[in-house]
Amino acid sequence: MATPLIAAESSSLTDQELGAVGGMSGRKRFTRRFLRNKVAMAGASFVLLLVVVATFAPLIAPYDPNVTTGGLRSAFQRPSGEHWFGTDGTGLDQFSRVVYGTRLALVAGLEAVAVSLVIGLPIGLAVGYFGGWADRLTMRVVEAVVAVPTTMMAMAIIAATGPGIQKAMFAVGLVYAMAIIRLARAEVLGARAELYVDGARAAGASDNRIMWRHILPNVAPALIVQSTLLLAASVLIEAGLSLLGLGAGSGQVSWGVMLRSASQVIDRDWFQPWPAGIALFLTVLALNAVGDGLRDAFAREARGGRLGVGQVARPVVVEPERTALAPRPGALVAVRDLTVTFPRPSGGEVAVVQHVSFDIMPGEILALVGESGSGKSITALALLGLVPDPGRVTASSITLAGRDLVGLPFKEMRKIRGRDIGVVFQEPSASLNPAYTIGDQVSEPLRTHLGMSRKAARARTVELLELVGIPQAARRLDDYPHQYSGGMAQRVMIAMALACEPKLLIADEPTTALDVTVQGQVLDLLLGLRDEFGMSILLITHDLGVVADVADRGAVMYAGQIIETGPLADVFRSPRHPYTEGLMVAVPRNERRVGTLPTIPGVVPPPWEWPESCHFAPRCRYAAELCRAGPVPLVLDDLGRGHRCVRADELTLRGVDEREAAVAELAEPIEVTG
Amino acid sequence: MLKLLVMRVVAIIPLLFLVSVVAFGLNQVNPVDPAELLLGSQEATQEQIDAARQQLGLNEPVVQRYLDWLGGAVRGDLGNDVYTQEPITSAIRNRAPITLAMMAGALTVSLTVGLFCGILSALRAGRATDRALTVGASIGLALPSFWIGLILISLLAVNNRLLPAIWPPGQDLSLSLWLKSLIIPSLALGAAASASFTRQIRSAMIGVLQQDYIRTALAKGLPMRKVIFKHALKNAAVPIVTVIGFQVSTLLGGTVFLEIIYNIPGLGNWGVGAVLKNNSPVVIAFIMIAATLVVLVNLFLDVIYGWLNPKVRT
Repeated sequence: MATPLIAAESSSLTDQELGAVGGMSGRKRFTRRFLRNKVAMAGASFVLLLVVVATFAPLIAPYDPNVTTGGLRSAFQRPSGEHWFGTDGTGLDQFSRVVYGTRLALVAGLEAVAVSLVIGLPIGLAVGYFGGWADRLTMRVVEAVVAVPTTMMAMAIIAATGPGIQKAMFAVGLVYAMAIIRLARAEVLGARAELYVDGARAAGASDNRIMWRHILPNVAPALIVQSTLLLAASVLIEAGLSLLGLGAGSGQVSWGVMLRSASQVIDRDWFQPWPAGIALFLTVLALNAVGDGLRDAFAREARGGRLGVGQVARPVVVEPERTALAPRPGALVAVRDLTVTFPRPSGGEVAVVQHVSFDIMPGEILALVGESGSGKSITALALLGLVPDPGRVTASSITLAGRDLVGLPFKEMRKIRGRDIGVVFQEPSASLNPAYTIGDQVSEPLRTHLGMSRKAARARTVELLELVGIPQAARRLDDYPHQYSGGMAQRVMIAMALACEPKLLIADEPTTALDVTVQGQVLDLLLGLRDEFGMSILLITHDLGVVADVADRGAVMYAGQIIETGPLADVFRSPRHPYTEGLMVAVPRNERRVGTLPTIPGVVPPPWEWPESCHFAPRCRYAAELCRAGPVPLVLDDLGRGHRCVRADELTLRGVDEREAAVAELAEPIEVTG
Repeated sequence: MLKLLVMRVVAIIPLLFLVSVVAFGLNQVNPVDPAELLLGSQEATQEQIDAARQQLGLNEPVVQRYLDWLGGAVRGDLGNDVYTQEPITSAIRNRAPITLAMMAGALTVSLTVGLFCGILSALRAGRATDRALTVGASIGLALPSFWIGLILISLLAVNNRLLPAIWPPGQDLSLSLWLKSLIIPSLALGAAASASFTRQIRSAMIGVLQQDYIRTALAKGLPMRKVIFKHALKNAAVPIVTVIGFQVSTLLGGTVFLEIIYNIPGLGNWGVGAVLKNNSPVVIAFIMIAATLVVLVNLFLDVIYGWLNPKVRT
C-alpha cells in the first residue's frame, strides 16, 4: 500500500501555515493562487475528465465490460485498433473495463471520505470544543485505532461486516475518521485559543452556533486539503482491498479486480497489470496534485531556503565611484564598492547594498549604524562570503591584512572564516545549535582551524569560557544551549568567535536580544577583549547609545549606502548628512523611541523603491532640485571623513555630544527604529 | 530520560488494552456464528452446533469471554485457530520473522533512498535537481506498492534464477534462499516509502538550513560536509524520526498486499485468510500483533528522539 494515513497525516496543516485564510480577500487570494498553480490545475483537469468518463461510461466504452467479445480465443490480446488496451485472460476488453472502473473508483473513494467526514467531523469538533472526559476517552480510542496500520484495521472491520465493496469502504472511512477527528480537534483547540471565539461567546452565541458558524469555517481549509488527500488514499486502498478479495467482487468492474485477475495470470502475460495500474496511478497522482495545490494555496507563501553561499565576484563593469578612494595606510580591512544584489520574483534584480566602502585600522572599532533594512547585516555577511544563495555579491576589493578575498572559492574562504574573522550574531540562543553541547561547539573552530586534539581543544575551551566570564566553565562544558541564559549564551558566542584569535571580529547586533543590564556587561567584555587581543571590531548596531559607548569610528548606513562616515566624535557632534542629523537629534531626549524617528517623517522604503539619485531625498527636509538629479557619490577627505550629500557644504546641521549619548544609553537603549 | 522512558512503557499498557477491546468488540459485531463455520454450515444439526458453541465457549457472556481471552493473552496464550486448532502463538512465531524481515528491508531501502534524495533535494532547492526529485517523489507516492509488486513479478518471474520473485514452495528454506526471496518484495514495498521519505526529509532539511545555527556553523569556517551532516542533519532528524514512526505503520500495512501477491507465508497472508474465513481468534491476534509492533517501534523511536533532542532529555 502506498501511504494512506501517512500521506494524510504528514500533510495536514498547522495553524501557522494556514495563516490568513477566511474572509473574502483570503478566498480571492486563495483562488488566484490555486488557478496559477499549473500542476494542481492539470490534476484538477484530470479529475474532471475522470468524472466525465465515469458519468458517460456506457457511451465511451466500446464493449460491455463483463461480456467477452469472442470467448477464450480473444483472450490475452495486445492493444490494437479493436481493443485499445488489449483484452484480459477471459477475453474482456481492457479499455472498457478501465472506463467502467472509473465509476467504482470514484464512488468508493467518495464513500470512504464521506463516512470519515460524517463520523469524524462532529466528534472531532465536539470533543475539541467541550474537552473533558469525553475528549480524553475519544482520543485514547483514536490512538488505539491508529496504532494499527490502516489496511489491517480496515481488514478487522471487514471481518466484522463481511466483504463487499460498500462495507469495505465503510471500514476504510471509519479508520480515516480517526484522522479527521484528530484534525478537527486540533483545529478547534487552535481556534478556541483565538480571540474570535471569545468574542462570539461574549456576544451571546450558543455553543452550537459558535461551533458551526465560527469554528468550522476556520477548520475548513485544513479539512478540504485533508479530504482530497484521503480521497486519493481511498482510491488506492479500494484497489488494494479488491486485489485481496476483500473489496469489490469478481462480478464488479474495478481496477482492483482487474489487478486481481492480472495477478492470477501474471506468469502468462506481463501486460495484464498495466491498463488498470496506469489508470490508478494517474488518478492518485492527479488527486494528490490537487490536494498539494490546495494546501499551497491556503498556506502562506513559503520561503524556500537552501544552503548555498555565492562567492564574492568582481564587478563586471568598472563603476566610476570605486577609483576615488584609496585605503588608509596600514588598514587591516579595506572594503571597496561592495554591492549585493538579489533577484526579484517579478524579474530583474535589486541592489540591497550599494558601493559600500570602508577601512578598519588594527585595534579599531568601527560602528556600522543604520535602521533595519538599511543593509548593514548583509554587508557583514558579504564580508564573510555568507550571503544566502540567490544573492550576488560584487566588490572591487575586500582586503584583510593585505590579502584580497574577492573571488576566493568556498574552500579558501572557509579557512578565513572562524580563523581570521570571528562573528557574533544577534540572537545567541538561536545561533547555537540546540543538538550539541556548548563545549563541542566552542571547540569546533579550534579543531578545524588549529588542528587541536580533542583533549587540547577541550582544555582551551574551558579557558575561553573563563575568559568571557562564564562561571564554573569546566562544569558547564557539557551543558546544552537551552541550559544557558541569553547573556551567557552570547558570552559563549563571543568565546567561539575568539577561539582562533581572529584579526577581525564582526559583532552583528551583539546586545540587541539581551537585557539592558546584560548589554553593558557584554559591551565591556568586548572592549576588554579588544584591548587584550588587539583585534579590530566591526560593530553592527541600530543602537546609537552602544555606538557612543564603544566605537572609535562610525559609518551610517541608509537604504543600502553608507551616507556618512568619520571619527565618532565628528559624526556625532557635526553631522554632514541630514539623515545623521535626524538620528542625532533624537538621541539626548532620553526617551524610548519605537517606530519612526520623530525628526524624520516616514520609514525606510523597500529596496525596489530606492531612487537612483540620493536615497534619502524623499524623506529629507532639506531636499532640493539638485538632490534628485543623479547618483550621489561618497565624498571622502584624507582623514576618512565622508558623506553622500550634495548640499553638505551649504547646510548647517545639529549634532550631539557623543558622551551625552553614551550616558543616555545607560538609562535606556535608544531605538533608531522599532 | 529514564523517567520519560518508564512513562512511555507504562502508557503502552492501556493503549494495547484499548486495542484489544476494539478488536474484540469488532469481532462481536460479526453476524456469522463461529460454531456453524467450524462445522460447515449445511449439514450440522442443532445439537452439534450447541456442542460446538459450548466447546468454543460461546455461551458465556461477552465480558466473561473477553476476560478469559485477556487472561490467556497476558500469559502468552492467544487461543487456537478455529479451523486447524493450531495455537495462534506458534503461528505468529513462524510467520512474524518473514514479515518483520520484509519490513526491515523496505525500511532500510526507503530510508537510504529518502535520505540521499531528500538531502540532495534540499541542498539544491529550487534548481533542476530538486525539481526532478520532487516530481519523482510525487510519482512514487502515487504508485501503489502492490502494482509495483505485480510489475516486478512480470519482469522477473520468468527466467530469473538469481532472485526468486514468488515465494519458493516447501517448508524448510535455507536462510539464503529465505533472504533472497524477500529482496524483491522489500524493494516493491519500499518504493512508495522512499518517495514519502524524500519529501519529508527534504522539507525537514530545508527548515533546518534556514536556522541561525547553520549560519553560525558556516561562519566558524566548518567544511560543508560538517555543516550538513553534523549541524543540519541531527536537527533535521528530529522530525524525520516522527515520520519513521508513521512509515513503519504504513509499511506493515503494505506487507499484506505484497504477501498475497508473492504468496509469502507471513502475517499478512495469514490475516487476509482469517478475515475471508471468519477465523475470529486469528483476526484478533493479527490486530494485536500489528499494534504491538507499531507501539514497540515507536517506543524505540522515542529513545532516539530523546538522544537527538537534548531538551527532552533534561
